[in-house]
Amino acid sequence: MVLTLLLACTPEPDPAVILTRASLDLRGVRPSAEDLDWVATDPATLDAFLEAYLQDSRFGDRVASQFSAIYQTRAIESDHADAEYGLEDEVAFAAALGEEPLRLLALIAREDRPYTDLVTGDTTVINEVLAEFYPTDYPAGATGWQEVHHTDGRPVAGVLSTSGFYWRYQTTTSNANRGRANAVSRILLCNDYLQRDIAFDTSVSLVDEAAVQDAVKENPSCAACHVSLDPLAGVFWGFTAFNSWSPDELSNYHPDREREWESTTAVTPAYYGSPIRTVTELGRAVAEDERFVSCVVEQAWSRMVQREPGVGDQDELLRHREAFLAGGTTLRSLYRSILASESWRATPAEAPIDVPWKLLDADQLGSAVEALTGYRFVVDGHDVLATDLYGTRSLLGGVSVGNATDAATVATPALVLYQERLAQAAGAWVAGADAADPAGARLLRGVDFEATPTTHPDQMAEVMQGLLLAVLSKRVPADDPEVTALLALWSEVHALEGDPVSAWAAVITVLLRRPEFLVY
Amino acid sequence: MRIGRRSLLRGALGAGAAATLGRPGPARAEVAPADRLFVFVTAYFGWDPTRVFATTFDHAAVSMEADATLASSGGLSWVSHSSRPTVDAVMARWADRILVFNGVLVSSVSHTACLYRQFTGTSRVNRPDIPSILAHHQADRFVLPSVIVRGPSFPGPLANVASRVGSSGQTEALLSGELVEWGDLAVPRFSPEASAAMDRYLSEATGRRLLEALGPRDSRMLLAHSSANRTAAALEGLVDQVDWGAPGDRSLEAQVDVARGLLALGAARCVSLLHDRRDWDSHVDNDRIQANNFEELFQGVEYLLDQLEATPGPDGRPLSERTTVVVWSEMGRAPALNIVGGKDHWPYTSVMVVSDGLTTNRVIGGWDELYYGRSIDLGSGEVDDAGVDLRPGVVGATLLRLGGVDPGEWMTEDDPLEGALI
Repeated sequence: MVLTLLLACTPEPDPAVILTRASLDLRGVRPSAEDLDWVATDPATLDAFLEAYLQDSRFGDRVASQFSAIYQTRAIESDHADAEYGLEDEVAFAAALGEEPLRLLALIAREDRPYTDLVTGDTTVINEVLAEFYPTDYPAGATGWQEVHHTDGRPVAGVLSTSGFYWRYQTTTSNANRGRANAVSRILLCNDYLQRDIAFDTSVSLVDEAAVQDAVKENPSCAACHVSLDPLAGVFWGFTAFNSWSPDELSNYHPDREREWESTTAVTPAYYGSPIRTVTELGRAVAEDERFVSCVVEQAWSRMVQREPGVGDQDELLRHREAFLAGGTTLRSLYRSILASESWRATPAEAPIDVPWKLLDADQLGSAVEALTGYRFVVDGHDVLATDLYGTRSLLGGVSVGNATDAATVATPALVLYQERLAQAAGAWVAGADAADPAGARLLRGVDFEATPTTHPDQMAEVMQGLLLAVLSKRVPADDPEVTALLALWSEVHALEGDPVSAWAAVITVLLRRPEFLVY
Repeated sequence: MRIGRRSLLRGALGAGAAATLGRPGPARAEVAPADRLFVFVTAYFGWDPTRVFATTFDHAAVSMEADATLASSGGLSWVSHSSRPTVDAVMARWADRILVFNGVLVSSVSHTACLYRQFTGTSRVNRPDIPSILAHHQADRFVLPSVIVRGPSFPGPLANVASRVGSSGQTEALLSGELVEWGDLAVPRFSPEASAAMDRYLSEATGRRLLEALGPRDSRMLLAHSSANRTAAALEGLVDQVDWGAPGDRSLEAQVDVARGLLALGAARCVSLLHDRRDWDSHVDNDRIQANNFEELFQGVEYLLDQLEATPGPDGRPLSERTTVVVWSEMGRAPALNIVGGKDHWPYTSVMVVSDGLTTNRVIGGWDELYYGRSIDLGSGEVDDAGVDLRPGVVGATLLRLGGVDPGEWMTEDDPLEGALI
C-alpha cells in the first residue's frame, strides 16, 4: 500500500538534488552547506555552480575513477609484485601499477587537453614507486604523481606507451598480443571482440598449427575476428616481456622484438586495413577513427547516468558527440553537455523504476567521508579503498579482475556493513577532533559542547539542521521530525555515555549510515 | 514497535530454525528439490580436463601425460596419475554420487566471457547466475540466500539475495567492528547500548523516509538499503558462530569452513567458493601446474565432502544428504602443448557434480577426435551426433531443475538435461 501511495508522488526537480549529483559526480564530495544555501535562495545560480564543479581540480580524478571499471587496470594483483622484485612496500607498488594509465587520463581531463592526447601524447604519469622501475625522467628526489617522458626510446602514443597498461594486459607467445589488441579495441573503440559468440568450425583441427594459421585468415567463423584483430596485435611486440616475473622485462621497451610477428602470426601489423608499424602509428590511427570519439561519449554518458545506452538514447549521444567535437574534444566539454541533459538531470521520481539510484563507488565513499570528517580509512599507511590488495573494493561491490564481478548498482550487505564501520570511525574521529580544536572544526563548527537539548534547545536544533544539510544535503525546519529524532538520539547516547563528544559522534555516525548518504 | 538490527536477526534466524527443526527431512535420495543446498567451487582461469575428466587416451590430437592411466569405478571413469592421489581418492570414494559433464561448450576463449556464460548459462547481459536464481527461489527461508566466500558472482537483478563475505579475516573484522581498530587513526568504539540506540534511530529514520519517498524508484532504493541492512545484521549475528578464516588465508579449506558454518546454521542455500590459483592459466609449464592444482583442488573438495558428511544441518542430519557440490572451471585448455610446454585456452570444459538426485556414477558428453565436445541427447544424456551442444545453459537448467526451479522462467535458450535427473 505504501508503494501505491508513493507512485502518486511526482515532485518538481529539486536544484539541491542536481547540485548534489554534480558535486559527487565531478568532485567526489557532497556540496557544501553554503553552496546548497545559494542554490536554495537563487535556483538560477545552479548552472554557475555546475560549471564551477566542472572546473574543480578533482574533476580529473573523478573521470579516472569512472573509467577505472572500463580500463580494469587497477586490479593488478599481488602475484605480480613478488618478493623477488625487492619491494619495500608491496601494497604501494601494486596500487601504483594500475594507476598509471588512469593518471594520464586524469591529467588530460584536468588540464583540458584534447582527448586525442590520450593516444598521441609523448608523456606518461607515474609516482616515485613506479619511478624506481620505469625508465623515465622522473625528477630525482620527487614524490607523488608527475608527468614524465619515457627514456628508453619507446614509440610514444599516450596510454598506449604506458608500462602499466602492458603490465596489466600481458600476453604469451601463442596469444601473440591478441588480448592486448582486444583491450585497446574494447577500451578505446568500444569494440569488444570477446563479447561475440564464437561459432567454432569443428572441421578445423586446432592442433594443426598450419591449419589454424590458415583458418584465422580464411575460415569465415575465425576470420570474422582475426582478420582485424591479428594485424592490430602485431604492433605490441616491443612491449612484450618474455619473462613476466622480471620487472626489467615488464618495464622496458624491447625494440629488438618489434618484428616478432613475423615468426608468430606472420600477419603484417595494420589498423583495419591500413599498414602500421608502431604504437605511435596505432595511436594516430585510433585518434582519427570515428569510433574513438563515439566510444568515449558513450562511456562517459553511461558512467554519468549509470546505465548502458539503448536505442532510444542515440539522438542524445549524437548531441553530446557534437558538443565534444565543438569543444575541441576536451572532456570538460563532453561532461558539460551531459550535465545539461535530461537523462542526467532526471529526478528519482522521473526516471524509470528499473533505473537504480546512483550508488557511491569506493572512491566516492572514501572522498565524501573524508571531506566531511577528515577521516580516511588507512591501515599501515595504505588507503584501504585505493588498493585491491585488501579485497575491500570487491567486498563493496566494485569490479575486480580476480572476482570478475559486475559493479553493484544497489546497496549490498557488505557495502552497508562497511558504511557502518566507516561511519563509526569517521563520526568518532571528527567529534573528537572538533571538540579538541573548535577553531578548526570541520562539522561541529560553533558547537557549544556544554549545551544539551534541555539547556539550549534552539541552538542544538540549529546544529542538527546544519548537519542534515552538510551530510545529507537535506534542508529541514527546526521543528522537523528529523531534527527531533537526532536530538532524541543525542540525549539518549549522552545519558548512556555521559559524554557530549560521544553523543555528537553518534549523531554524525547515523547520518553517515543513512541510505541517502550512499546514493545520489 | 521499534525493531533494531539485532532483533531483526534473532527473528530471521529463529524463524528459519523453527521452520527447519519442526519438519524432519526425508530419507537420503528423497530430498525435496526446494530443500536442496548448493556449494559451487570454481577453479578460475581454466583447468585442463585431460588431467582428470577427459579420458582421451586414444585421441591422437590430445597431449595426455605419458604415465597417466585410465581409472574407473562403475560407470565413472577418470584420468589417474601418481602426482594426484587425492583425485583418485575422491573419485573412488564418492563415485556413486559423482556426475561428470564433458565437452561443455562455452563458445569463447576469454576468461571473463566464459566465466559469465558458465555462471549464468548465457552470453546475454544482466542475467542472474545460477546460485542467485536458486537462492532467490527460497530467499524467504534463508537469512543469507546466496553467499560468495570468494570468487565470481553475477547476481544481476537478484543482487539482493547475494552476499559477498570473504575468507581472509576481513569479514570477521567487518562484522565484529574490529575493522575500525585496524585503522592508523585511533578512534573509540561505541558501547553496545549506544550502538543499539543508533540502530533504532536508523530503523525509524528509514521508515519515515519511506513515507516521504519521491516515487517508486526512490522507494526501491530505500527498501534495498533496508534489506541489505537486515542481511548485514544477520551476518553480524553469525560472527561468533562461523569460522571466518585467518587473515591472508585464501585456501579452499578456509573457505569450506565458512561454507560449513553457514550451511549448518541453515543460514544459506548457496555458497560459492574459489580455488584461488591464477596459474590455472597454464600457458607455460602446463603439466606441472595442472597436476599441482588438481591435487590441491581435490584436497579442498575432499575436505568439503568430508565436512558435509560430518556436519549436521539444522535438521540434525548430515549436510551431505541434501547438498549438491558443483566443481567447475570456465574453460578448458587446448589439446596439445604449445612450444613452451603450456596449453592455451579452449572453448570446451568439464563440470563435476557430487549430488543425489542425479543419474550419478556416470560421464555425460564426450570429446571427438579433434577434442571438440560431442553433442548429446537431452532425453537420455547419451552422446548423439544429431543432438544438441552441451552448453553451460544446459548444465545450468539441469541444476535449476534439481533445485526445484522451473528453468524456463530464467533460461530461454536451453533446456535441462532430463536424462541426468532422477
